[in-house]
Amino acid sequence: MNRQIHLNINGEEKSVYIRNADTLLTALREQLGLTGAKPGCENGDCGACTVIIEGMPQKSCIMLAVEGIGKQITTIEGLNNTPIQQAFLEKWAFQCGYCTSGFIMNCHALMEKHPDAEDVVVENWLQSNICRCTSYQEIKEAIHSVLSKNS
Amino acid sequence: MIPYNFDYEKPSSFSEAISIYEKWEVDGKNPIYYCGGTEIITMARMDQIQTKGVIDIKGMPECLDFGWEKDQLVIGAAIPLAKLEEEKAFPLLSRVCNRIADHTSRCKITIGGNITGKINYREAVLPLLVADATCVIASKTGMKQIPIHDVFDGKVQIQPPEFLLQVRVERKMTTLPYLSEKRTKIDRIGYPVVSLAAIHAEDGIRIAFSGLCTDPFRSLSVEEELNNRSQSLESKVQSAIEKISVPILDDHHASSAYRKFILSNLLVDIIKEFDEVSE
Amino acid sequence: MDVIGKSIPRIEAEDKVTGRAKYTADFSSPGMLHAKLLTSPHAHARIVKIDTTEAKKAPGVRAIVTGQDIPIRVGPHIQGRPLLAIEKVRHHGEPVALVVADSEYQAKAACKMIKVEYEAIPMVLSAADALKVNPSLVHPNLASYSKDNKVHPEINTNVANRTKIRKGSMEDGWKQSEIIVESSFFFPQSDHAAMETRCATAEIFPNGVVEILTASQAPYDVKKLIHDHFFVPLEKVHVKVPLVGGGFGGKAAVQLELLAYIASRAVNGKKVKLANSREEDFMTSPTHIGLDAKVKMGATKTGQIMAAEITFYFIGGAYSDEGVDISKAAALNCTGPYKIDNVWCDSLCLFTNHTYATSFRGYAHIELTFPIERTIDLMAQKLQMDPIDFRLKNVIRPGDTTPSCAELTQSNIGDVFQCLNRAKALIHWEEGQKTVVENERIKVKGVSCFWKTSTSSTNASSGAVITFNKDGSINLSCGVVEIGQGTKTTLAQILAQRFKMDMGKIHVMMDVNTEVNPEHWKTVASSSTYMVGNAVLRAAEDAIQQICRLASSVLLCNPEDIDVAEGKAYLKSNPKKSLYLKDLVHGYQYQNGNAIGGQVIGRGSFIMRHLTHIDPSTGKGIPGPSWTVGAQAVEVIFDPKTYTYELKKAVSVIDLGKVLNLMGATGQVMGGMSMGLGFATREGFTYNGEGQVLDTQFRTYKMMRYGEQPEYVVEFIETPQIDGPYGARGVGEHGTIGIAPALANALSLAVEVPLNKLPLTPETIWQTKRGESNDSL
Repeated sequence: MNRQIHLNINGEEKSVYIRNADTLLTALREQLGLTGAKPGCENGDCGACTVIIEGMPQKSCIMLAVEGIGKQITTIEGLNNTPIQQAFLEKWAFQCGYCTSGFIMNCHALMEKHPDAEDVVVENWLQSNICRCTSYQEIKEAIHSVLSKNS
Repeated sequence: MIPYNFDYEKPSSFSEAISIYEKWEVDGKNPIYYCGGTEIITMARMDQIQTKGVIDIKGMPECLDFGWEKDQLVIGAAIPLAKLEEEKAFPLLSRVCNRIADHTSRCKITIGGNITGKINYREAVLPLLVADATCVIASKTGMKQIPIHDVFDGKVQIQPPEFLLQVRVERKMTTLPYLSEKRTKIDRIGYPVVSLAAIHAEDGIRIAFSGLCTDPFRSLSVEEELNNRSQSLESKVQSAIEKISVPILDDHHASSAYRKFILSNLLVDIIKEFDEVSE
Repeated sequence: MDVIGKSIPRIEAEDKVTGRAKYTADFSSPGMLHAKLLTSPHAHARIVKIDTTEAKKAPGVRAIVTGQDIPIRVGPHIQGRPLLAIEKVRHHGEPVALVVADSEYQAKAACKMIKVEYEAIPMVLSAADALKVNPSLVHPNLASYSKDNKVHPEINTNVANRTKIRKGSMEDGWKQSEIIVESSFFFPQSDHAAMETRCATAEIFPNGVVEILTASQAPYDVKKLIHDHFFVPLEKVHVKVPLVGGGFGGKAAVQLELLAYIASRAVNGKKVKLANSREEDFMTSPTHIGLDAKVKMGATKTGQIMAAEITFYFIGGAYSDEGVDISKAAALNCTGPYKIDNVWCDSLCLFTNHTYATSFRGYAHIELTFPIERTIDLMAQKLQMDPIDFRLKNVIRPGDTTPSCAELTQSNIGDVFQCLNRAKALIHWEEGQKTVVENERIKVKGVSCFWKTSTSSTNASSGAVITFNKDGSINLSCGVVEIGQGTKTTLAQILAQRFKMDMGKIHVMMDVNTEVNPEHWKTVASSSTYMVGNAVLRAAEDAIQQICRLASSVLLCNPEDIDVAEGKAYLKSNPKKSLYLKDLVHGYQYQNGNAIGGQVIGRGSFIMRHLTHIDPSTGKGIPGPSWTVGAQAVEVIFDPKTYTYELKKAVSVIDLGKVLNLMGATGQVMGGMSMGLGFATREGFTYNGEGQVLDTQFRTYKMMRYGEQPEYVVEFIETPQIDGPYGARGVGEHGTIGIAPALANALSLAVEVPLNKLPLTPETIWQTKRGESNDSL
């Protein structure tokens, strides 16, 4: 039932024992201890489990771990002192912190792909995540501070 | 978390996929083809789908095709909606895709998965219906091309082990004036209370709907009313709504009365906008 | 060195932006087992038979527990809730059986194999159902449940509690009233929807120690309940709470912890984790209460409110939990922050076949404020007065009394008049309440005032201990849970301020462990800063006294001659004569090796004072130490063609006594407003004809998302609360309270019909306008 697969995560080749039915989220959290990606709905609705795969944001709860074979996977643990993490700190863009990893991963992918994204693009991307604590105004300030720095 | 186990294969050709399917079917695995997989995972975790064999079709080149082949736009079944949204090769399709689920989910949801899925809405099919798209279907005898209207009857009627490999759209259909609107219960992300996609072709307005009835549909008799030049705007819209032959949904997303209210507003807007374009 | 009022970043911030912050579900260990619940598909049904034979044989299954194995009933006020359904199920989603297996998927697979036979019972799905003559009874055995003496359930009915307010004379009140308005209000149950779903693990050690790890706002309640129900000695129950991913009151209820304990007990004490899926978090764990309300209000022609008759029917769900206390708190504060001398209120908590309700951000105040503030607007309209002028004329002031006749002072009520005036300026009321803008859309503004008291236990208490490291830096230990509200950062500021020390020298233990941290009542009611803040100040005082005493022997003076600042104890008359704290806090050593003193350990505690029980016939009593007051305003643009609207601006002005952390407080209020807007615009459960909840996922349980937010404006008024730390009042919940009525007031003006039901979706507005409203009562 369980099988060994290899996943490239945060630039490292990792071997993981999984069921075919395991989601990438489960593999990350339970096999690799990468608990930054959070289960918030396990249904693709809230974005708390967002990781970056081949440069695009992906909800790791609606992806099988086996689908990750041969792909570059980045989790929040793979980010180190990036501008968006700093911006989240400076703008108080989180409270409980549970949705934060997912938001940061989505923002980070957005910045990399569209460093000068306009509001409508930012909104299109960031509507994929839910935050229950903040008012989103703080998150808006965080992403804007980073986008304007880049452009 | 999916509460059961299954085998998983990712074949590199459609013929291989079909033979795996046939074998697993004989083995009683109740196999399913898996493309974006978002719907399968979410239904499997709720125990709404049972399978012991998952065949991932993202490994075959035909499913990953995307681009122009002479005057045809070829879209592989495994192309994610986010890519269709961004590339804008078929602007109406881009616009409709932009309103399905949310952006991150669209990086995973594929066009093949969306239009052949179990979810009622399957909004990506709307532009294909109005554009008279062609479906490319993998079969034991090879690929076959069939007009979408022959395979789509509320749902895509493809009998396994055959499966959808591609959809194709004529270039001239992608350049026509188009409109699409989606209304939800309240916000931007959500199931449609009414979603529609329309183009203005030589023969008049073509329009397809989702969210309004159980399945997405395009109705020639509705279009006929909308294109009836002898009627006033309001009566055109009224008779078009009366021509909808299937019941308008009445559920916890919206009452049927409210759906009709929204629909008539949208139809009025659409006719007006197209009139402005053609003037 | 002044840190009070500064926007000190939350101390756990780095962990949260790097994914390293750990929450309950993030902890697992090899060999840990997993539990899953089989829940009821029915809203009200007798359990005829449960057959677990097949499920027991399923792979990985280690134990299955059903209701008859644990014949106990729990609940904070009325003990009527079985951990797993006994004899019958009372709501869709109620736990019926629990499976423990090697992995979560195996436990879930086995749940499906349990065969349960049900027999339907007539359902109670509204206040009207609950109150009709000869109703179906949710709890026919209500009389047999044990309860505390603060609740008044009515046997052989569905009334779980009734609280009465009888203030002044209604006869006089109506006599003096020249204008009367009367209306009904409704909102359904909704949810806390914290992003972290509830989760608990339990392990029972051979020496009898029970260790619970849980996402809880009330770890000390968990400890007490494990003791009360399973007879584990208190000292052997250790409850640990790491960071919590949002609470909003929903995690103050104790549920999964007891089930996890049962699960562990069933497998000989092995560690077992029980985590809710989102669906379970919505329908199995407790929700936000619903309400049907009627308000009749009388005023003079000049706009003085003379009388109010208020009836609340809370839709409490299947079990009473905190619903009974919420209904009481609603009665005690039923008028909102207005001076009304003649008040009659009956507040009922009803048993229904919905998921049971528990505390929710605002605890009764978000609920009572909607009907009251709508009524205030309806009255202003009838009087043809400006709604703000009408409010200003009636707002409560020092010297007035609350509906429960608690006396108000400047310290405990603050200044709602000033809040409202400031909100009026910030929303630019002078531009007009209603204007037509581009595309024939209508810009409208609405306001609301609010108040909120804590409704704490009359003996709620908190403790704090501070110890020192050898470099003179400080460790703070207390029982507050960090749920995102930032209290631990504020407490560190309070401590830093008292020691006149750099924030970096204060370490706050972030997790809670009941084995070592002094007890804090529970992390609810925006009261942690007040309660624990006071305990921390006392602990600081205690430590400083010890330091001064020791320093005085070294510096050859009296302890009063010494003060402490910047890591030193110094002679007030000559600050150059000083000793480093690091040389004092672990004992002072003379050059010859002799040592005196010893470790300095500061102890502080706090207990609520002057709170009273409530008189059951009049409602007289004191429910909280103070009321935080405020005013809110909302501006929206409504499209009369589509019945959609755009949120443009939301304003809050709150009197919080003293701002301790500006960004922290502002963030709490903005987040609260966002939650208030969610509640007002889209949140609320819908049910099918079988009483099944239809919105168990975020796909249909709608939440505010990025980009939908209006511009938020938050300001504070500072009327000190004399007994608060540095004059501060709590401010966790308040942003949520008045948003819904402010929005409904604005939209009612735009649509020109009263909108008295939530949520305000375009369809409900359209239906109300068409006159399709169906009052449930």
